[in-house]
Amino acid sequence: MAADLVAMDFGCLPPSPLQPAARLAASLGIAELWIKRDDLIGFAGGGTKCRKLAGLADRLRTTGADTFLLSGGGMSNQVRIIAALAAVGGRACEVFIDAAADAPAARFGRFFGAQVHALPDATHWTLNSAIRARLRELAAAGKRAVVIPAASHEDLAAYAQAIGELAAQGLPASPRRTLVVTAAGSGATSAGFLLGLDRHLPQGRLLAVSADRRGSELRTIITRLLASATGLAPEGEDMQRMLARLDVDDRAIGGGYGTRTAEADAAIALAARTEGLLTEPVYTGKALAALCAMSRDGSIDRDERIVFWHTGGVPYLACALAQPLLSD
Amino acid sequence: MESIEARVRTFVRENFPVSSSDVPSDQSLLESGIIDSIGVLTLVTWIEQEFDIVVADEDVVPENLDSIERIVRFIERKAAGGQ
Repeated sequence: MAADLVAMDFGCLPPSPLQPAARLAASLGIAELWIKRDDLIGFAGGGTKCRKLAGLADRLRTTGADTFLLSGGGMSNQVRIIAALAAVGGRACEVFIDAAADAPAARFGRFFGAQVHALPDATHWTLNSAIRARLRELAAAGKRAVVIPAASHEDLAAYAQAIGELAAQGLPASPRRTLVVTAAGSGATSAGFLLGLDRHLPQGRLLAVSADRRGSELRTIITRLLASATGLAPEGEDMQRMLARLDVDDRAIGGGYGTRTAEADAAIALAARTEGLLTEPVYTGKALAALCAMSRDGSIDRDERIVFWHTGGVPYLACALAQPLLSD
Repeated sequence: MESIEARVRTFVRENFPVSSSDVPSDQSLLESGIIDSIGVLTLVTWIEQEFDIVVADEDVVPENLDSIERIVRFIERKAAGGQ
């Protein structure tokens, strides 16, 4: 029998472990490196997106929706965990993916019982039209469908709390500034982390490594999400203080979202062989690749305390390893 | 009564705040990251309710909705009964 959304157990809950990574740090010439292991929290393969699940489940329950609609890329973590949420919570789920039907997120979506609409040539516009059309069909069939956005105010609050969690994890006293490094897709995690830095770790900074967008576009999205969540004026003093802690880097994108790069594959292998750490080629692997490149060319201060935020996606590594690493 | 452009600008500013100053009329809203794909749904729903017009699926294209000036022209055309 399907569980009610409000009573769901999401498995391993935060705090996620904070793991020292001395061997990887040494190989990069970094003085101090920690890994924030969000890949070990949550369910359905885990990841930072799981931090919002309890709140999201509660909000979805209050809508009375029987069908969840969402969109995502071919390696979307959100698609995987929400398809699982729907399955366990006894709701229907329909996923609109701008990738082929055999993309990993499409496969995981179907695995969790979701109906997958694979639209490999879709743009934002055609994807939107497909969702609108499906909403009308479902309404006509008497279904109560709700579209789940990539980011909500509540999601950002959950990600902000993750920085509070980091600040409370008792890192040894150090004169070094803290630089949090994270992969960035929708920008929601980065926006939430900025909010969290402002509240809990004001000496910290954030490096958001884009998985698919130009840096300027990602910065705009993060600004918009932050302004929406806080109600602050984008050019006001409080917002500018938060944005001053943000660096955005788009050097690791390669051919775009989901494309493999030799640099990311090399970084994945390095993390695996120095720390036994599993990452994947779309988000965490590219963030690691940027960290490697920036430590080599001196564009980050190697004397900073660096916290690499492992946002999850490990189940997709298995899909990636079906082919040889580009760096081999 | 506010102009259509003023109403559109207010909607964009309140729902997709990226800058205290207004975005240029011809700036792409999606390519610049101001609106995301789900944001298009929000925009279309608002246009239908605010101006009492029906937006067909084939209307949801960048030529109609990807900048302030295109949105204004689209609403004017629809409100006048045009295609």
